Parts: sequence; C-alpha cells; structure tokens
Amino acid sequence: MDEVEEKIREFLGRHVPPHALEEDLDLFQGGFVNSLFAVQLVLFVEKEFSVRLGRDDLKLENFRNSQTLAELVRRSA
Amino acid sequence: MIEAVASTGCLGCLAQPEPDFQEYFRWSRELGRTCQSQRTAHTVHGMASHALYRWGEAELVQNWSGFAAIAFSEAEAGSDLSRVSTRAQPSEGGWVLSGSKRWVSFGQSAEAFLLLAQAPEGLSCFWLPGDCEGLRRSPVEGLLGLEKSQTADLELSDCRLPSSHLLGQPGWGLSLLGQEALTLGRLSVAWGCWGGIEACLEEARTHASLEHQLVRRLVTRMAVALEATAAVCQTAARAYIERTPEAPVKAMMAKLLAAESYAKVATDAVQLQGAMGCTTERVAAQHYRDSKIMEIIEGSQQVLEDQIAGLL
Repeated sequence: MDEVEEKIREFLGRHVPPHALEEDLDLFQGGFVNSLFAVQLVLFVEKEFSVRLGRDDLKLENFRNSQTLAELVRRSA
Repeated sequence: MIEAVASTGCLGCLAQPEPDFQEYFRWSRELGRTCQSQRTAHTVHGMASHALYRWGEAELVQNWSGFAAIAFSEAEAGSDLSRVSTRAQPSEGGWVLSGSKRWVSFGQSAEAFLLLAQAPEGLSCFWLPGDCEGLRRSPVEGLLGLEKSQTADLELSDCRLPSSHLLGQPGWGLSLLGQEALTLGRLSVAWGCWGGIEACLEEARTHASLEHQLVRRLVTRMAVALEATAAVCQTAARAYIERTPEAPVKAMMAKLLAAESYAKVATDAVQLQGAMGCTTERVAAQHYRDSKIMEIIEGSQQVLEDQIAGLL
C-alpha cells in the first residue's frame, strides 16, 4: 500500500465502519456512507492530492474502495 | 427583476471557469440587506451556473449564456429529495423527461434549469433549456414573503434533451451535484440572512429609543446575533473556499444559525418599532416575512438538525 492509499484509508476510516474498510467492501453499493459522503470524498481527494476530478471520473468503479480511489488519484495527477 | 440583479454584475461570479466564491457570498450579503428576492435570483443562478461549469460538457458550457434557476423540489420531494419522481428515460441520442416540479424560484422567467430527475441509474442532474418543447410553467401566487421571486411550478411532458444536457454522470445527481449545489445555496442564504440582520439592526437603532432599558436589551440581542451570524458565515465560507471535507456540514450549520437569528432579529425589529414596524415604510416588515421563508428554504431547521447530528 502506498502513501496515497494510506491517506485515503485514513479519511475513509472517519466515515465508514471498520469492517467495510478492512474487507475492501464497495463503499457506495454496500450502503456504508451518508448522504454527504460523495461531496466530502471529492473535496478530500481534490484538496489532499491537488487533483481536479472531471465528469468522466464519476464512475462507481472508481469509488468502490481505497484501491480504486488511489488508482483514480494516480491517473488524475 | 432579473435585469436589476444582472445590472449589479453579481451574476457572473460563478458563471465562469474560475469561480469567485468570495465575491458570490459578498453579493449574497449585500443583496440580503436590500432585497431577498434579488438575493434569491443571485443564489439560484450561482448554484446552477457552478454545476454547469463544473460538470457540464465543454460545448454545452460554451454555448450557454443567460439566467438559470434550480428545479429540484416536487410535491412529494421537498425535505427529502431522494423521493424525486420526475423521470428521465434514455432515448435515441439523449433523454426524455416527464414529471412536475414545485416551488421553483424564478421559474417564471429562467432561461434554463438545473433539474433533478430519476434516470435508470439513479437521480441525475440535467440542464433543461427554458424554451424546451413540452415545458409548461405555472406562476405561484400569494407567497408570505420573497414576493418578487417569480416562483413557478413546472410541468414536463416528454421534454427531449440531447445527451450533452446531462451534467456529470447518471446516478450522481443528488449524491454529488445536488449536494454541492445545496451547499452553495445554504451558504448564499446564510450570507443573505447576515445582510438582512444588518438592515434590521440599523433600522431599529435609528427608530427605536435607546433610552428604554427594554429597548436596549433587544437591540443588544440583535447585535449579538449579528456577531454570531457573521462569524459562522465567515467560518463556513472559508471552509468552502479552502475545499475542506467539512465544508458541507459547516454550510448547514451556518444556514441553520443564520436563518434562525434573522427570523428572531426581524421579529424584534418589527416589535421595537410598534405600529410603524408593521408598515411598508419600514424595512422590518419585509424582512419579517422573508426571514420566515429563509428558515424553510434550502433545508428547514428540523431537516438540518436531523442531518447535522448524523454527520458530526
């Protein structure tokens, strides 16, 4: 696990139950997140990694878990 | 009304690739001092413009100019937008939208709408041009306040949109685009309340006699409310401009406190001025009516109380 994914996991740890994170469960389809989570997550990713997400990045497979999010960040950098 | 707002230059704050949020909030406060209907035009246009510039296809953005409003609420989906039932069906090269929207501020005159509809993938945001065939507008009359906000209900009968009029991706309409727009709207409303409180306090100090202890108590309370509102508005705006993940929650808190303070201050401003406070010769009466609506729009106290607790 690299630094990007670690930071993402730290953020996710504040918002989702520990088992969802440990088992890399699908955050959105698993229903682990609250109504503001998508906004908060996009804000976090953009600010923390100085990237700008665009309309083509809005795919659920990018937002599945910390690994897919880290890949999204690396692609956007 | 929209011409008057446009002439200030405020409508361009967010309708550009590099949005100027500080200026947007500053105008919300400025217009909130003098006319909350104008402030509403500024608020909804900013919400819609920001979504378009952030998530719209380049061609759609480049070809757009005009005044845009927000069409989220429905008869059965006000406090809970997840219940939106306006349908968006994919059809050859685009979408077909059908359903009805309620309480659309400036719905009588907007040239486009940021509209929330249910697509097969979930709630999605669309850019609906005001001249789209199948769109019918019915004015809403008799509002308690914000009387000049040109409110309308919308009826959509098979409104056809090209695929480029979907903003973002299907399914992200409420969770991301809608929540982003609401966050911006809540901040703008909160700053508008700040301006309204300033106007009420100014008038009360001018017209009420501070020789009376009871008057001094009320004026002091108004001044404290102003300080608290200013602080919470600035904190929430800073969080938003710095793009911190806490920004949406802080916007909710700011809106909750600012609107409640505004309603209390406006009530006291009328009370302090007695019969004169009940006339159109004083601004307090207008603020009294507008503030009640501003407690309700963009999330009532009860909705926000319920949501914030789960987000701490």
